[in-house]
Amino acid sequence: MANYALIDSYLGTVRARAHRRDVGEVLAELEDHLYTTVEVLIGDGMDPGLAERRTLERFGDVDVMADSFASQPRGGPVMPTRFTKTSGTLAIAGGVLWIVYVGLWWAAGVSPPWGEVEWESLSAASGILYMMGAGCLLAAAFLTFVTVLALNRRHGGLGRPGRIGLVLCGLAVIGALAAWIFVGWGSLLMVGMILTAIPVLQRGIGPRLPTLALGLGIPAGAITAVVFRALEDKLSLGWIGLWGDQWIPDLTGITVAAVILAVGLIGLGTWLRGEGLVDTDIAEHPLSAQ
Amino acid sequence: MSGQALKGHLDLLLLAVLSDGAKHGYAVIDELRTRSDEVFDLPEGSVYVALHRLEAAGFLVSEWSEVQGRRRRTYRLTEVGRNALSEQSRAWSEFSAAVFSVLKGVPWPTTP
Repeated sequence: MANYALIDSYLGTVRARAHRRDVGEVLAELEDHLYTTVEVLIGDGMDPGLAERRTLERFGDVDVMADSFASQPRGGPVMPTRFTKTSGTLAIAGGVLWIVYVGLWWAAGVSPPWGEVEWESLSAASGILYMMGAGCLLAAAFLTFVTVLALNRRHGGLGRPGRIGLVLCGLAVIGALAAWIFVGWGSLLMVGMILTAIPVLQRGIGPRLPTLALGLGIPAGAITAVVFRALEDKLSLGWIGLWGDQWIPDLTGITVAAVILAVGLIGLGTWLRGEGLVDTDIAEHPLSAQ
Repeated sequence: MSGQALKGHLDLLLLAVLSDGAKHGYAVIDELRTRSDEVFDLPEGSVYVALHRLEAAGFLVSEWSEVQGRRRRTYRLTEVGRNALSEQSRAWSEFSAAVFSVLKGVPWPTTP
């Protein structure tokens, strides 16, 4: 077999950066491709040195390719799938559930569970509305996680921020089921959605307004609640619970968050359900580096 | 056409190229170039990245053989990949026909 020093050096760079279990197979495959290409070019009459350089130029920048082959492929295909389309419907349902949730809690007339709900103070009807609202909240949080998962899957992954965001949103749902500490799991959900929205916006791969709404819903709600709490002394906005929860300021903040999230989820859901191909821009994809 | 213009469509094109039988990476790239009359010109390594991703997603399976002393990997469509190709081809056909109709100023679908 002929000696192709440039190709061997190229493959050496790929090998040095790879930390995947099938690195041997990847190198064998690339070697077959590169040697075949250079042999075809030489067979067409090209000078061997030029053929080797041309082969590597056509294959792609060594740094970009070495990074691309460094880890196991993940994220799935870059196209709408049955999963992403179904998730679109679920995202719309999630948006509706966020609205239903706050509606039920306003109707119940109770505080959000910043601490513990004062059950003794609730009428039977309020208690039922409150529990129905809590059920909607859990379902809405879960469907929000499904939407974040679908955004990742739709684009073959959103890089490290997307993966971290997905994990945080998943932990938030688990946290919501396991412990009723709104601030804790709400914060996880907020950070998770921000980390998901950033790569989508940076790469221009989704509708901007719904994506912005997904990322900014909870922060906007939190700011609203803080502002309303600051006004509490002057305006006497509702009662303050034993655990420091303030019905009108807190639920107003939650409402702002829920409405913005609903806009985001319904917009993203409508988009994910679309049959048409959507232009994508995967920054980590070698195509975008050319 | 640059790789930039192909982004987001490469997976579908690869499934289409593999729809008429198993091929190794070099043949896939060659077929892609030939079928597009050399309009699609992209870094060849990116095709392998996409092939690996599609295999990990269950759209393709690969087999190894030995050809002229070198190991060669061949890819073929799975049933999942064939279904995805069919679904996306239909969506793409509708989309491109609608764009063409707008550009040409004729209603779509056109009546014979």
